Amino acid sequence: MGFFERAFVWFARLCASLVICIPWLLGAVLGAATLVAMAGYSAPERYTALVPLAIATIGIGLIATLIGATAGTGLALLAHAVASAGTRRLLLVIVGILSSTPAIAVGVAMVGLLAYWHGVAGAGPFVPVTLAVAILATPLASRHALRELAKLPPDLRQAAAATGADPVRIAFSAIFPAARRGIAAAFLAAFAAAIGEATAAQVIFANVPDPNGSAGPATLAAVVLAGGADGVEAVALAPACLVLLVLGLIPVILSRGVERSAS
Amino acid sequence: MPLAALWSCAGFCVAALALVAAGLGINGWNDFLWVLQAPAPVGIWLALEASAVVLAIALPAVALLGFAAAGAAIDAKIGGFLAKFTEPAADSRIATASVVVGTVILIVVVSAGYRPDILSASLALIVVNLPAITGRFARALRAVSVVRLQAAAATGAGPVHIFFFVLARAAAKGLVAAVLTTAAQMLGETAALAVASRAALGGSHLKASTLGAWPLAVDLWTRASAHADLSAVSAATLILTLIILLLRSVAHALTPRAANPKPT
Repeated sequence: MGFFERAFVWFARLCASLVICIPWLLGAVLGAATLVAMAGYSAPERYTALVPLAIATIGIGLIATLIGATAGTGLALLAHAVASAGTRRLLLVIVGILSSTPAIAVGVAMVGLLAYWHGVAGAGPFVPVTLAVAILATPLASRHALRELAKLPPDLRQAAAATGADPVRIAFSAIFPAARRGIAAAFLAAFAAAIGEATAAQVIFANVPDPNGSAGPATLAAVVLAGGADGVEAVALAPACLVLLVLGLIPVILSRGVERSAS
Repeated sequence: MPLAALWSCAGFCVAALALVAAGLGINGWNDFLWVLQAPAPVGIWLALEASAVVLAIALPAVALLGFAAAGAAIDAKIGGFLAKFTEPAADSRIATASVVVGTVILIVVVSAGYRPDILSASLALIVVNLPAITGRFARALRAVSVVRLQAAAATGAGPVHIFFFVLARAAAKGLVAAVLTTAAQMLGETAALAVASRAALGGSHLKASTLGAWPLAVDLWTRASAHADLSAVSAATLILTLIILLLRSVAHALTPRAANPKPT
C-alpha cells in the first residue's frame, strides 16, 4: 500500500470514528456542562422545572407518534402490499414531498391556518404542535416501514397469494405479522424524531397563546431553541439538552434491539 | 374494513400535505412575487445569499468527511473493525436532535472564548449532517454491482484503488444525489443554526458583520417567532420549500434503483 492509500485508510477510519462517536461526544460535552451548571446554579427549581417540560415533551411525542407513525406505516403497507403500481408511485411521491418539507414550513403553515381560522386559536398551542410534530413524523415512519417491508422475502406474498387470499388479507395476515418488528422499530424511530422536534413547535408556541395564560414554549426542544438563540447562557441549557439526548437515544437503542431480534 | 383503515392512513398523509400547502398558500400567495423583488428583510435574496455562504462552507467539508467515512463503512479493508459500526451509527442520527447539536457547538465555542458566528453555524451544520450523508454515500456505493468489484479485485487492485476508481466512479450519480439531498436538508435546517449562531440576538456577529443576513430558514424562524408579517413569511417559506423540493427531485432522479443488500 502506497503513502496515499495508507493516508486515506487512516483518514477514513478517523471520519468513521467521528460518525460513531458523535452522540457520545455530544453526551460527554453535555454531561460536563450539566455538572458545571449544577455547580453554578444551586437553585433546585431550575431543575425541577424540567420535569413538567419532559412530561409535556413525552406526551406530545407519544400522541404525535401514534398519529404520524400509524398513518406512515399504514401508507407503507398499502403501497407495498395492496396498491397498484400507479397508486404506489403516487403514494411514494406524497411521502417524498412530505419528507422534503422542512420543519419551519410546517410550523409557519400551522400558524397561517390558525390565523385564517381565528376560532381554532382558542384551543391553545398543544393541538397544532402535536399535529405539526405528527406531520413531520409521518414520512419518517413511512420510509422506515417501507425499508423494512422491502426486506421481506418476495416468496412470502407469492405463497400467501397461492392460497387464494386477496391483497388486503395478505397484507394483514402474512406481511404485517412478518414485518411487525420492523414496523415497531419505525414507531420508535418516529418517537425519537418527534421528541427532538424544535422548529415547528417553537414557531407555534411563539404565536399561539395558551388559553390558561401561561406563555412560552412548553417542550424541551422548543425551550432549548428559544433560549439558545436568544442569548441564554449556553451552559444553562445543558441539563435540558442532556434530558433531550437521553430521551432520543432510548427509543433508538430499543429500535436497534427490536431490529436485531427481527433479523 | 381493513382496506378502509389503510386508505385512511394514506388519506391522513394527503390531508397533511394539503394542510401544509394550504397554510402556506392562503397567506403567502399574495406576496409570492413581492418577496422576490423587495429589499431585505422582506425580500429573500440576501438571506438566500447567506444560506449559500453557509452551505459553501459546510457542504464540501461534510461531503469530504462523509465520503471517507462511507469508504470505511462499506469495506472492512479500509474501515477495519469500524466498518460494521459506522453505518448503524449513521442510521441512528435521529436520536440526536439538531437543537442539541447546536447547543453543544454553542457551549464549546463560548467555552473556548469565541463568539458564535458563521463558522460555529457551519460547524453545527456539519455535525448534524455528517451521519446522514455517510449513510447516503454508503447506500449509493452499495448500489454498485458486485460483479464489478469482483472483477476489479481479481486484477489485484488494492481496496483504496477499487474504492476510488471502481466504486466511486460507478456510483457517481448516487453520490451526487446524496450531496444534493444533503444540500436540501441543510437549506431547511433551522434549529442547529439558530442556536449555534445566537440567531435571536440582533447584534450577533453572524448577522451584523459577516453576512448581513441570516440564512433563509433561520431568517424565517426569527421572523415567524417575532410575529412578523405572516404573508411575507409564508411566501418566503413557500419559496424555500420549493427550492428544497427541486433539489430533492433532482437527487431522486439521479438515485440508482438497484442495490446490493450486503457489503463487500
